Amino acid sequence: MKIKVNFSWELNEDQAILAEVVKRCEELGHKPGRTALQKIAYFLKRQGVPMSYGFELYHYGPFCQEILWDAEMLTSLGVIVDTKRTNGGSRYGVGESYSTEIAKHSAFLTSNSDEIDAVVKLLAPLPADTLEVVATLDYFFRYVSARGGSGPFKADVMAKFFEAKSQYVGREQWVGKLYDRMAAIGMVGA
Amino acid sequence: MAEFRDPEYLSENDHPTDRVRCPIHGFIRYSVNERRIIDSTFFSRLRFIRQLGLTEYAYPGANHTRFEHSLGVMEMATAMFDSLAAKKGGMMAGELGQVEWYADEPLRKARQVVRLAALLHDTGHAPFSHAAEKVFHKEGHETLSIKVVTDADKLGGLIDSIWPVGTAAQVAALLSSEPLEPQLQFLRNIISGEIDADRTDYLLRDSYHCGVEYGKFDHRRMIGCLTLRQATGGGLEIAVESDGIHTVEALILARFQMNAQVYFHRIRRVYDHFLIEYHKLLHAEGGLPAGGVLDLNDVVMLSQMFEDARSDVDGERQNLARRIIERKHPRQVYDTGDNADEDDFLAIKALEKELREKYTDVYFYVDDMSGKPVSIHKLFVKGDAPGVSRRLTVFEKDGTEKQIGEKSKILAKIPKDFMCFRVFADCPDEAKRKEISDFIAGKLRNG
Repeated sequence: MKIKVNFSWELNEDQAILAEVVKRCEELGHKPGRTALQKIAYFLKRQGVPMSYGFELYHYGPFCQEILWDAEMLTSLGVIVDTKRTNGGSRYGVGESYSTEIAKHSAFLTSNSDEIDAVVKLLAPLPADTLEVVATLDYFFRYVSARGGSGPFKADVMAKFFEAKSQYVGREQWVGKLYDRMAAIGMVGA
Repeated sequence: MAEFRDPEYLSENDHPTDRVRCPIHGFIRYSVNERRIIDSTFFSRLRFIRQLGLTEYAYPGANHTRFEHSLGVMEMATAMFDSLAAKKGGMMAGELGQVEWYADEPLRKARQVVRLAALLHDTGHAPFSHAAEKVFHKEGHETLSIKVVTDADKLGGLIDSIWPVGTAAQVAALLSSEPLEPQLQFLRNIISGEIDADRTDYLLRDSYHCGVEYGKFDHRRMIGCLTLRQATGGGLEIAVESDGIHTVEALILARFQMNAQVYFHRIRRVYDHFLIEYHKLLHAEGGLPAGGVLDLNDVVMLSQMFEDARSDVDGERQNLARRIIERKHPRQVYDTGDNADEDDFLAIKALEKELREKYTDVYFYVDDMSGKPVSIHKLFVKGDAPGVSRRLTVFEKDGTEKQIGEKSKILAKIPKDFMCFRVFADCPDEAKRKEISDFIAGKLRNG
């Protein structure tokens, strides 16, 4: 049983960004699930949006436990709602309390609006497995490029990717195309 | 390649010729080279930062510092490294050698990098450790620790002048949460993982100084049972032999109980709150001493508090300073117990408003942990959703592998998170406190 909220709770900036992501996804006709929220947050951090989340490489790519907790908190507060999918997974939408709770962060969100807009527009339409792959490719691109040199990076990144994600063996062409598309828009080095 | 049996050193000056006594580990040994780091102002600063903030207000013995903890983490990290190297030295050298910087002397370099990372992991801590951390750093102390290690005008220059150039960057890589070469991941996990050197030292050390037994576990046995396996994504990952399962269970149980009994002790939580509010006000009023966090420590801040406490001014900051210096705290009138959830959070927040309206003459502090639980462990246990848990593989005696969460029924029973909410009322009248307490209980009982 959910208890009716009759208090004002000040969201922190991380939570405000998550709520804003859900809103912008919904405006584009998408209801993000847990994977989408994780990967969009990951790329927002990559784009320099200030968030305290730290990501580790888990089974489905970069993952941060705190995002799950924050999503649950936002759901409890009615800032977002979770309309479960038939398979039990989450689908987040904007909740009743969104406008009142988010107001305190409008200046912060405005200052990061362009980055949020760009990342959401790019990623919100993608299915979960594609998001998992692009986030993981990005993760390994950072690893490979951090070792110096100016590229080419693709072969090394792909090799690392398939070491970590053997379940995608057999789909090399698809993964390679995703990498090329990421490189074409400057997300990773070619 | 033969297995690695004895520690090897990068130079004559890396032999552990110096030693200090430690109540937890006996002697902690270090080299002449390491002494230059230990004696630096950046590391010595940790002598003046207490490990547990104002926990001494609840446990008077808890006056130990980040300095001795950091030495202890270096000792534990070294014990883990050496234990792994004794069993899997060849495998380690092979993997580490694939990374260019380590290629010429993989085990010697890695051992030194691990020791330095362990030693320096807390150098970015703000005064009072975690208590008022969020006032000083948005992203936690780790980012500043990395700056201390890498900046040439801090320790970066010194480290790279003592050891091979690039050592500082390698140390920082282990302290960072940025992607790391898979070959080096196990080194990072010695410092920061599910069964790491940091946790091992602080559980034992904090228990000892608080005078409690909750944090004690058979760490020597655990370290002796550590091993390595080839990770699915390349590189190595830390695993445990089946004989070590009980020590891992004990570590995780210790972590749960230390959170419940010490780290979230009600008295400490009140003073954490006061420290946060005091530092916020000091910051807002421009009262923080010049320089950054690295110029601050508990002594500097306590001096400021003493000055404020004795001031004729009767502002909020001065009142907070008096509360801290004179140990005047509100009393607990309600707590949820150790297993609070989101509904408890919502209930307590709703009640907070009502309490303040009903008892306008009473100061209330509601410890809501910002609605975020503390993670006790992230290991896979049966029933976990896929992809949200860490792996810790157990090697059976017959060579087969299992996840510890599949083997251990105890682990499955230990909560993965800890969350507890409390209400404190500043009300000397015991009868009235009882009334408030009954009011809260009644409200929460009736929804």
